[in-house]
Amino acid sequence: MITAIMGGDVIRAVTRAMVALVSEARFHFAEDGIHSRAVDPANVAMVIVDIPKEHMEAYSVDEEKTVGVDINRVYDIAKTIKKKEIVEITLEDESRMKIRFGSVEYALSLIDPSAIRKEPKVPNLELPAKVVLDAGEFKKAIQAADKISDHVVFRSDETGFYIEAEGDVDKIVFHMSEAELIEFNRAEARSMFSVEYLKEFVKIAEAGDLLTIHLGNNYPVRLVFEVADGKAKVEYILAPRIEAE
Amino acid sequence: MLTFKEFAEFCSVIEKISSTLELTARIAAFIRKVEDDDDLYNVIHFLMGRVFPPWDEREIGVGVGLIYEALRQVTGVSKSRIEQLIKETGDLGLAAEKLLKEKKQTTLFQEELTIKRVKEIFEEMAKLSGEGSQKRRVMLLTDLYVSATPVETRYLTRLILGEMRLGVGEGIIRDAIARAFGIDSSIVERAYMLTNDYGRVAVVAKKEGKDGLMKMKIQLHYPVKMMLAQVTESVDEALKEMKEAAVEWKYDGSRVQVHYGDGKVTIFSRRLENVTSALPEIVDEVKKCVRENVILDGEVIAVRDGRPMPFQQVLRRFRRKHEISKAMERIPLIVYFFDILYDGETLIDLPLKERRKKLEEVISESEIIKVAQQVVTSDPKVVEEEFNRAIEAGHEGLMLKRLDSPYTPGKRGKLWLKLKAVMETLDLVVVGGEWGEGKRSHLLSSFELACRDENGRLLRVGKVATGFTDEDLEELTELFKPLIEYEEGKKVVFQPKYLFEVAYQEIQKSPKYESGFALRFPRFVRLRDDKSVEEADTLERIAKLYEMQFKSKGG
Repeated sequence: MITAIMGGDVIRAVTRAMVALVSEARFHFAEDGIHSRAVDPANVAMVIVDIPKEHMEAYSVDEEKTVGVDINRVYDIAKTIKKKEIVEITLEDESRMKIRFGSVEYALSLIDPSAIRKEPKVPNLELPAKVVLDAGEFKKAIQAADKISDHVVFRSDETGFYIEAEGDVDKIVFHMSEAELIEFNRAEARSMFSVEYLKEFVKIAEAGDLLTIHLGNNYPVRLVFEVADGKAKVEYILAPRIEAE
Repeated sequence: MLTFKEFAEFCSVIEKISSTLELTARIAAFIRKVEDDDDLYNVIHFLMGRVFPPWDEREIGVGVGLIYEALRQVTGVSKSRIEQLIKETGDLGLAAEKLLKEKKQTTLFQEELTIKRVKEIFEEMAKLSGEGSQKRRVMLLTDLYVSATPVETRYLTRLILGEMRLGVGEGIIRDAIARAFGIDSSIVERAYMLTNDYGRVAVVAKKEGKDGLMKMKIQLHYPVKMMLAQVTESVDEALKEMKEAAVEWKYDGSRVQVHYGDGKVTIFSRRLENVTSALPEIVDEVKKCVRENVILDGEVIAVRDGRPMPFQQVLRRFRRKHEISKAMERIPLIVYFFDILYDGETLIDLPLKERRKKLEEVISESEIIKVAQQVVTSDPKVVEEEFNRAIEAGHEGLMLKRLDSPYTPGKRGKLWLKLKAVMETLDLVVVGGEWGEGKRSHLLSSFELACRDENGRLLRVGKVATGFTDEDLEELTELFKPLIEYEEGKKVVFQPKYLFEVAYQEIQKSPKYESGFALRFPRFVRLRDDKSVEEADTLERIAKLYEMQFKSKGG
């Protein structure tokens, strides 16, 4: 039997993060915490979720288990949980998961993990630029870009980090200099990405959360969010778009 | 290991070739280089637009709708944009290729598709059933498309739809196998007629050569091509040639090949589709009345009050996968067996006379299972009397068979002749249609028809809009809906799958259709879903019938 007790904010953030890409996923209840990893059907983006044991209120595993979860359903439940509420997840076998919060006990039937698209390997990426900033600021930039274009350029050089979106007539440039960034290695990099994906990713971000961006040249980007007051880590890897000549 | 990309690139080369000889030579060179046996097997089928051999019950269960959905997921493009591209290109394969070329979004990883991997995914799709299976098919399809380059996408899509547009038919495959492995075409063909699987024939030809092919045998539960008959115009001429003929009624039903062995009965239709599950009462009765370890050839007819019901009723049973028990009450069936191909050993080289004896030995007749009556005669009068009796009983006419004839699978020779009462009709492929007007706007009201040219390309010869009952149109609408590739206003384009038998008053020359011919007053006779697209009437036959019109009119 596995028991995990965590804050409502953690389950909300984690399920929101997964639902951005997939409707079903495998969850591993391991000794060191809960992990999940999935790629969207088009192979464009990957999400990696980790809830370390030490960031849960309580966690006990007598035997490690992998279960298949209908993410849409869990997210629908999670939405009704208050952030400060305590949630208890228990798992007796691979067929059913119990989620208790407040006076509710929700018995969720699980999916056969072998029927879920196989988990990808995490690609090994060499990304020169590293930028750490407030996830809330990033969210604002993406939401603004979404108003005028379906793609954005992420760019970094010694003058800072840029997000640029160009519409038919309008243009938006978001710029943070080294002084405004929490951490910055001043490396040069530039890649273009789809706003469709990014705007889904930023839904978990809140002002004050830390976001680490690893950027390359016409290469996938890694976006590492620390959410729910740093209690869970959500990483997205997104493949670039080809820039028109 | 052959990659799907190598295969697709080869297809894109031969698609431009129209010379049959060159096509054959290129395919021969290509298949000679395929090292792995399984790859060779699959390539042969893939070239003909098949995932499984035609008699295999398995189906991947992917229609146009699921392809749209998978393409939408992979490219992020809306359904309306995909439809627009199909209208521009006239082909879902080309449209899919173009979509992938236009795609600006890269992916995180791409797996290289091999022939083996593609086949495995198809096999997995074929296994799915029940709740969630469509969703899972889309997922597998998406996996394929995500890993495919644009040119692979073109042929992957066409393969799924069963239409490669390469002009490669069975004749070309036969000659290519013969050429690749230095074996006479007739030996390759014989092996095919016995096994119905050019994939297996190619593998045996490669590994064991001519001797291997000669050793290939009829096997229980694998269909054998059915022997066919030529139409004869005159009884006198037929008898003159045959001297003495075995005369049997030509039942107005549906041809079946029944295999019984290892405690199991398998029934194949004329198209060699496995129709066992549609005929449970026949299966039971065969087990009771027939000696085990045989392959029989016969005709199933539907009867009501002792009279045969329209042939359509039998076909309806074949199509029906559900509610068989209800249909059993409504459509009682009788099988008339008239030949035997196997009784533990191959019998096809024995003369009909001896096969007939064996046939009578293995069957003990019942209400449902009969041996077709046979009259041996050289007297035209007797034939005429039989003919009138057959017509009166509601059947099509007579079969005249040479007593010394072997069973020649797949051949339409002079050994068997059919004498029919009705006029010539054409069996044409339904390639398009149009929605009706007003009250009938939810029904398809007219259908576009096409014949085949020598390379299997489909050429339109006209439209049929008469001869349908309201019930026909309702049934046909249900049948054709899943085959819709796209719609434009009222017009729809179908994935070619079904044939109509049509009658007409006259064949005319016409620039309106690609075939150069048009039918005057075409009338729907029936759905021929016992025939496959490859068996549709050819341009050559239409040209011949056109010429004959002048002769009969004396011009």
